[in-house]
Amino acid sequence: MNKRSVYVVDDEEPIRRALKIMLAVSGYSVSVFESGASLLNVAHSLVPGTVLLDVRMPDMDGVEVQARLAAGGIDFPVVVMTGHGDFSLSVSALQQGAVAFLEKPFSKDALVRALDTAFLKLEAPDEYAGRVAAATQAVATLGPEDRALLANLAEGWSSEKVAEELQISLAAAEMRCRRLYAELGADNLNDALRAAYAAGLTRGSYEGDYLKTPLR
Amino acid sequence: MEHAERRSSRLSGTFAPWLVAILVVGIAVLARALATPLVGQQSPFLIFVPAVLLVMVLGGRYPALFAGIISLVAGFAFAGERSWASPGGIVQALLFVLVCWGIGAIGARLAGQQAQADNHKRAAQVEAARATAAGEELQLLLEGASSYAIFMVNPDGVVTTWNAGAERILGWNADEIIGQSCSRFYPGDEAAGGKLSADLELALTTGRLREETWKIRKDGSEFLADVTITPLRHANGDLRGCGTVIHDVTDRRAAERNLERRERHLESILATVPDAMVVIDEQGVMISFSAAAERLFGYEEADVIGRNVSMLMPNPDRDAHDGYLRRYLDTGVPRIIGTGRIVTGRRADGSTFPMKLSVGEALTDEQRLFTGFVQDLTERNEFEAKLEEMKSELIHVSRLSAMGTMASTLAHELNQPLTAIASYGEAAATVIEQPGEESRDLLREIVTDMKAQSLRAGAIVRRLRDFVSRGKTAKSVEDLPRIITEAAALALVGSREKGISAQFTVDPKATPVLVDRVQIQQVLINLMRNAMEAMEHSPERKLTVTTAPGDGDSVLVSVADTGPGIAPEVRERLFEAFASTKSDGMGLGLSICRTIIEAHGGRIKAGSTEAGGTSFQFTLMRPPAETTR
Repeated sequence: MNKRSVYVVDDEEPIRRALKIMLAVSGYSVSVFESGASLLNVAHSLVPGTVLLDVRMPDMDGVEVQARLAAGGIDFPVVVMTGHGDFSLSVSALQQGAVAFLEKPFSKDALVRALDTAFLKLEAPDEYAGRVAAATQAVATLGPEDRALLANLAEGWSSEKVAEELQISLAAAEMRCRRLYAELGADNLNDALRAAYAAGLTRGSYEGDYLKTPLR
Repeated sequence: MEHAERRSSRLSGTFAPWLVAILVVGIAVLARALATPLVGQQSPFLIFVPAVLLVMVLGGRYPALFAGIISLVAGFAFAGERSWASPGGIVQALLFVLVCWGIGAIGARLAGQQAQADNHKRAAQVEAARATAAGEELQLLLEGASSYAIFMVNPDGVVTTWNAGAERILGWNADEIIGQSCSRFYPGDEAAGGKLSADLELALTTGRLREETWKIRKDGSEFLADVTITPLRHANGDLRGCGTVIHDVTDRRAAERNLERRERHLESILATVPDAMVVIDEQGVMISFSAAAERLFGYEEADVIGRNVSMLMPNPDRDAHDGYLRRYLDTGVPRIIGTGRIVTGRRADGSTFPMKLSVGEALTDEQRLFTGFVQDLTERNEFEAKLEEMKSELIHVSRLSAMGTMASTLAHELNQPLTAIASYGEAAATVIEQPGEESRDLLREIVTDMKAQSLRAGAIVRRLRDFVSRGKTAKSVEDLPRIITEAAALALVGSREKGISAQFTVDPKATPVLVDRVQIQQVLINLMRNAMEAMEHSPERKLTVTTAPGDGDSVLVSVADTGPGIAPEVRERLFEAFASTKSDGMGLGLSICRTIIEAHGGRIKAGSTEAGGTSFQFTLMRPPAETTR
């Protein structure tokens, strides 16, 4: 009865349509907006929910919409959707407090996981904060190799890139990443990255020599 | 005199003189008859002398002769019977005849003088009339000569006559200036320095003074004057004054100076213009040879002027040039005029060089001239090769960047329909589990949308393919060896310095090909530059480009080097993007080569030479028209 509300913002009509159907059949209450401005116009009258925000849009991009929501006192959790090559925008979004980013195209599982985290932040902020704090703590206790790997992942390395750099197979690289997530108490990249950003860990801040002496 | 002449002319030509002669002689006879009682037969002829004289005066010579004859008869009558036979009578008669003859002679003389005097007078009158007319004409001429100031001055320099031109040029009218000294036409310093008297003095001693000098108008303005002062003398040699003619040459001189300045300007341009300039006439004879031409060809202008321009070119042009000119003059069809062409020049020492010749044609005063501008291309060739290299690099880089941008854009666009399709798929997976008509309708809607989005993705992929194979339309039938030569000219810049020798082995049967020339040259340049870099540290540095007929309609091109070769594991990924082994490479060169060659319907592969170097081989297609199956 009391459905969770998701506000989809995307400039493309087919995407809005497809997401609306998928989310609706998955049990969410969905509203779609064709631009950040149309969301911001009505945001104060909306019931609290999660904003599913396309990061690349004409006029006002996702990061700016996120900033304006925050400036307007609307602290709805935000999940950003990114396309090809928008990693730096996703990073900005995460650093600004977005709960997760989803790289298009994405599976329903990934979407639901991200939304679950978002609604945790909305419905149980303390638990969410605790999880973030634990992850930040976990980052601090990481060994140098894991820290270096996390820093690089935070810069946008894919599993393929990790495999190439570490001279290991793709499967081994994915295994290596999952081990890292587990160390952080996270079960996916989003959580791990959020933890990394919460801990202020980026390659710029981490002066390790991970790149110079790759792990073999 | 005049009166007598008129009367005599009136009398002459009528019977009057003869009547006068009879009348006068009659009176004389009467008078002698009256005197006979007193004088008897004494001096019978005497009375007739004045009579004949009178007739002579009144009627002229012939009436006087007539009167003399009558008087002779009458005299004998008065002298008495048979007096004409008496010695005394005969003597008196002879005396009378003598006197009459004398009177006649004097009369004739007088008449001759009279006629002469009349002639003189008539001639004088004609002369006078003619002189008057000429004088009037001259006067009109002088007065009307408005572009010349013509005036007379007396020996002291005071103006005595003044024409309209003088008024126009100097500004004074005749009333104002006649009687004034002409020193006021001199500029202040000259007037004060006594130039007027010096000028007159000079004119007198030399007979004529002509100079170009500044003069002053009435309003004080100055003008450049052409002045001629000529002394005029009376018949007896006394000086009457000086005739002065002044012409305003300010404008003419300014125009001349302007012309002269422009000519000098043109000369200075031609002297400094880096292109050599040679002007010839219709016969090909050189009539001008610039300083740059002297430097370029090694001839002095004086050595070549008047000689045929063909001396500046080697054969075959040397012997054919007159024919080229004639053909142009006959047909009017230009081959080189107005377009410019790269030809070979010949220096004085016999050496030849590449040059760009641009020819212009000028038709002046019925004379046709051809002006040739010559650029030495010896140095320019090297410079241009470098420029071309940079340009091709720029094209290369911008092409890479364009492809990168395009790929990124397309990838992003492709994600959109894929995202929609994935979402629909997820939704469908959920809905399909739910029973009911409503779910079925929803599924139908989802599937329709999925189909549309899939087609959209397909359209995007097609656009990508179009972009990669873009340039298909630029394909044309090309001569393969020429493509290789041109590409090598750019690729091999600096090869000699690196100790690299290049060898080209082209099979005449392996041409032509149907290609986009620029793209294939890009491939060749890329491969040759790669080869040169690969051999940088090799003991032997030899680049070989070979062409040969390939299978079917293809032509085989190989670019081989004597470098260290490619490691087998690198070779596998050689043509993949971003797979560079070079420290500064972008790793796109070979991948672009492959894209281009495959877009041309060919294949490219890397192999090893027997000596261990690398050999890239690619195929190109012959044009369909050449196909023989």
